[in-house]
Amino acid sequence: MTITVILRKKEFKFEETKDLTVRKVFKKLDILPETYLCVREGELITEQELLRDGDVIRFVPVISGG
Amino acid sequence: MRQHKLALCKHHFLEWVCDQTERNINKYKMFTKGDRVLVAVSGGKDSLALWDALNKLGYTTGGVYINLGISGDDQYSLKSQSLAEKFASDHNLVLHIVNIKSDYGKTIPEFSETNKRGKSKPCSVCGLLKRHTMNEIGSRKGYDVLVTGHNLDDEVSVLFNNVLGWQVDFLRRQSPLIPAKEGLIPKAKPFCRFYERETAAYAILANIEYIEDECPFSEGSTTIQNKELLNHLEHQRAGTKLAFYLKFLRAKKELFADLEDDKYTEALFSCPTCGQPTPKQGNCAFCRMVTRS
Ligand SMILES: [Zn+2]
Repeated sequence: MTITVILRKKEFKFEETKDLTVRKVFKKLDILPETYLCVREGELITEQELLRDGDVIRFVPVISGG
Repeated sequence: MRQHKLALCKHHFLEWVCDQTERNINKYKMFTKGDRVLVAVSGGKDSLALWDALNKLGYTTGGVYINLGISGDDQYSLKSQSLAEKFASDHNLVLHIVNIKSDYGKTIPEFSETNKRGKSKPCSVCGLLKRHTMNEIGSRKGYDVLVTGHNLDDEVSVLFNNVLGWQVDFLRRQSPLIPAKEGLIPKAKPFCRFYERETAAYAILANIEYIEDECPFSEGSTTIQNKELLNHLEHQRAGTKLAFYLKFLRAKKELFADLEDDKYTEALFSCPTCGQPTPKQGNCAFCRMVTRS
């Protein structure tokens, strides 16, 4: 099983899903937690949230151009 | 440290944003429930979240959307206009729509083409057009105040830039409320103390459909570069951005002892063509741009 992360029209798959949190995914993708929110099944989830096998999560950018 | 606010339940988070918005409005004496408030709407998260919060708080609001004629890969203007229209009709609110091309003959990219004298990037042309048009609509339709969705990250990015270049005049003017002057309605930023993360969270939790794509011209802009830099600082020390901004607002009184001085709030001349204030005699920058072909 895998966890899928959608980030700006790109998809990232994670096979090692044990103890995977949103925070750890941010780290793996080398992005600052200040710059994205994480949405799972239409709900906002926090950095501490533990991800589950088969999860599809979306990172929503928060920086706007001004 | 406020990031924990995002861990609030959905209902309480939305309530918290509305409460804080009202506090800001009162703290900086922006406007009251008796005023007619014009919201500058881009179709993005900040302006739609602001409109939603003001509406929930019971303020009398209308929106103004400016179609800039920017297409890009994703039909930026078309898409953002339809989202602004959807929000207005879903909430039964009035939205004034201005189309730059049909009103002034050219789109933003076309204006910036004919204006190419080194410093006229699309963004400066766009800023000039928006400022003029929003003030014009606001005055003509009888609004008391114009509000924009600028958030803390926007303000901090501008502040950082103005400090880097020691732009004293810009620093003097940077404020949550720009008071009215002859020919100009006041301008307020009720979201100026919210992190961008918080306004995005509000938009998502309130089920607001907004345009996630950025204007194609903002790619690599100074604003975005500054925001990334400041986010690194924030990441190392939570609260850095908020402190930078709030301490600046406090320091302003000492930095600019003559802040209330009339010579800074009075308009010197009024444009013979449109009537809006201008620092020099003759047509204002907007009218000069529009009449130049
Ligand atoms: Zn003019």
